[in-house]
Amino acid sequence: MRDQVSRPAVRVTLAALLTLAVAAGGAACATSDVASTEQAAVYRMPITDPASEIDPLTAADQSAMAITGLVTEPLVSLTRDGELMPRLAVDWTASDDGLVWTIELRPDARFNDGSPVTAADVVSTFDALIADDSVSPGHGAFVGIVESVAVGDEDSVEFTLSRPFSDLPILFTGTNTGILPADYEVGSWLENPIGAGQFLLEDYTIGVGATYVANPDYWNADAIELDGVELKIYDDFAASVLAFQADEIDRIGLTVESASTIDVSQYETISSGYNRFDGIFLDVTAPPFDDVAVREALAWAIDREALVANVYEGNADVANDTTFFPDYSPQPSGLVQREQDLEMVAELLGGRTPSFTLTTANQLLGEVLQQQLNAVPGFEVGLEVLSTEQYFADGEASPWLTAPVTVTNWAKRVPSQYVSLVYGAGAPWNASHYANPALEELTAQFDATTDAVARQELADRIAHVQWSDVPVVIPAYSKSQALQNPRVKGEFIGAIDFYTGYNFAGISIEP
Amino acid sequence: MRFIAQRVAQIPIVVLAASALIFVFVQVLPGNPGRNALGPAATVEQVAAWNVAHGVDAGVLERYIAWLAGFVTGDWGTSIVYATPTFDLVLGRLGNSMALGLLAFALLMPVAIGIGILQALCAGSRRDRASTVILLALAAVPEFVIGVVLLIVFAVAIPVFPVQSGAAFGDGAVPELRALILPALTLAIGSLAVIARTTRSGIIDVTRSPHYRTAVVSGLGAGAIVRGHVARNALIPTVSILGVYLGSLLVGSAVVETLFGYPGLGELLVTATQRKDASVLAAGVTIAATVGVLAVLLADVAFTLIDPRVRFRGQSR
Repeated sequence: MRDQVSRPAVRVTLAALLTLAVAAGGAACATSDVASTEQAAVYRMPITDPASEIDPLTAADQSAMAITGLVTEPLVSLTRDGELMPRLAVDWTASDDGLVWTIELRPDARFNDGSPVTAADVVSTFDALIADDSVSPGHGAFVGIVESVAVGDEDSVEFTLSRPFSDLPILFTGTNTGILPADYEVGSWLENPIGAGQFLLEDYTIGVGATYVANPDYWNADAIELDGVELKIYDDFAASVLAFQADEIDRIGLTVESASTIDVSQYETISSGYNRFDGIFLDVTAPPFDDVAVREALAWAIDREALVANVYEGNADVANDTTFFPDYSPQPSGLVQREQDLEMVAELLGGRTPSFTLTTANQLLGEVLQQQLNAVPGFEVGLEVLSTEQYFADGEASPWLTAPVTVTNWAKRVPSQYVSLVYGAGAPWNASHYANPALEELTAQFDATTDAVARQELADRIAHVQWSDVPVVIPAYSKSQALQNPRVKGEFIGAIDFYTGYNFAGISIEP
Repeated sequence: MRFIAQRVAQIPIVVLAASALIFVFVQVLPGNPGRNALGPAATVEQVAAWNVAHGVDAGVLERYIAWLAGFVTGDWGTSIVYATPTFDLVLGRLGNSMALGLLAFALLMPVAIGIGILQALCAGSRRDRASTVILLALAAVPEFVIGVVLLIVFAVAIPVFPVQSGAAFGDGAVPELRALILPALTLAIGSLAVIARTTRSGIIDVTRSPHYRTAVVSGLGAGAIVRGHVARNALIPTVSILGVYLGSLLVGSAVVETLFGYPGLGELLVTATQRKDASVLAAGVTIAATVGVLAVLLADVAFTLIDPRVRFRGQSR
């Protein structure tokens, strides 16, 4: 009896000793590397392996943009409240006809090789960006707007537009707009990581990550309290969650997966501004959505509050089928906020039973929408979830542009850009196949004026067309949330996901 | 020798077939290299221009022949994802995977063979049955789960090992070794059961054979019996399977390398597949196939040294 009792105890003890031995072995091997990183006031962020070239002009995914964006500096960025913030540009003014913008440059800015940032550098950067043969993802933002860029006087640049565009400075906050030297050759950045930004690239190891040190010659170096930044590559999200718990990194995206394993109360929750919407694109040229009443019925059938709670985890605001993000000014007025109204749906359908399939690469949103709509009398909804590669496949039959109903994620832009990209007759990504000359004319007028009263009136009319014709149902404007290690002090000036520029001014690490 | 010569002669055929297959397979994968590189917002014209600039718009056969000609002369092309020479990328990653695989193999082999021997010595006992259950349970647990459990225990709860192994690169031998331990343990645990069971079965088969009983009744000492009759014969199946495991360990595990953020060949091949990085994928698979075949060849050599019947059969043909 005594033997039987003691054997398990011995095994448990042995197992515990083995565990301790492995741990002790690791501890014995442990050097001061972790401690030294912590002492050096380095902000550590997870990224995934970059999916595109690591070049400021052509970076197409967030990781590649992070690697280059910490080193480069844009003309302008946005605060987290959506306000324009001068970076390499200190002032910007439009001519009376709105066709020429003069950008005054910061006179004391220098690249990290010591050379000054000149008007010629800005011209060269934007020439490369807007060139017809440019493969930069940032190219599309300027198409049909910026005609040419030229040196003004010594410290200014003139942008000549093909049509007046009052939100031009906001376009400077977009992707691939970091200023590079005039003699920069595309594709050479990793050999010589040039830029006028807050940090210097110290090392980049494929598959591992990148380390940066603060740039002592940055024009606002006094505001940078960090010694450096480290980007660590984790291709497995579970690993990055564990790394966050193990204090290897200072932030992790707050998702259902991370929240289910991390004690959220131990960390600071930080939130970005609005950064995207998921649009439900309805093909207005074919049944059943060639009938505006059916499109309206679908818009009234969606429970937007439930989507915010269940899909966006509360980190979104209910939207009203217009492209005016809540932090944009002016905000449209006079529209009734759509919410789920089953009586309205029944009235609009008038006994019809629209049957269609939702096609998307966003499984969660697709499933929730399908469930919501199938629970509403009158709708019969199927779901086709594709991989990202399948959904955005090239060719004329690409599902995201040809399927009858698609759900696609769109990054934040100024409202009128969506008209030229999504709603216009010649828009390249017009998945709804919608066209309305009146909307395009209103948008052109909106872009052309800086008068606040006129812009408010035009915003109201643009939004009313989008709301009434409803080629795209926009149920919510979403944000991002992240958990951050409490050792990090200060608030990020811009969005925490840096989509309008990287800015670590005011961020420090507690010793 | 003829047996080994035949195996050596098969190597280029196997490697060539592997490289051709992977080159064709990468074409049928969904996705477009230019689209992958430029993102969904790029226009069709931009994607086409990118593909032309990176030479991925030509026909499969044309590109394969060009790639093969370059491969045999050491010009493996340039990764379209990392914009770096494929030669450096693949061989660097192979070196990393081999370091990890060798450590895993060094941990695995003595432990697995030791457990197999212990099980054989007490075959049929409760201890044997219990350890069999534990080993089979371990074998049934996916590598990913084993890795996550090890990370939770030894990186989060008792933070003595890093989660991301690659970060220790360049920090010196001791930090690098420390970073390798958890992924190596994960790899070793995943292979433990099969090798232990094979060893156990081999020993039991030998100890039930007539020649073993003859050796025992003839009065040979225990040491002589183990050296001359048990070890050599019992290890034949184990050596055979060790060759296969060595080959797979040396070229890396995509699951383990991805989980631990370890820049090995397995992780690289996953990325190359996702992004349709054909030169990296073809070179990586070709090298992996070469290493795998060489590991099996090594096992065959060991096999012929241990088992004289193999040599005899080879000579009689």
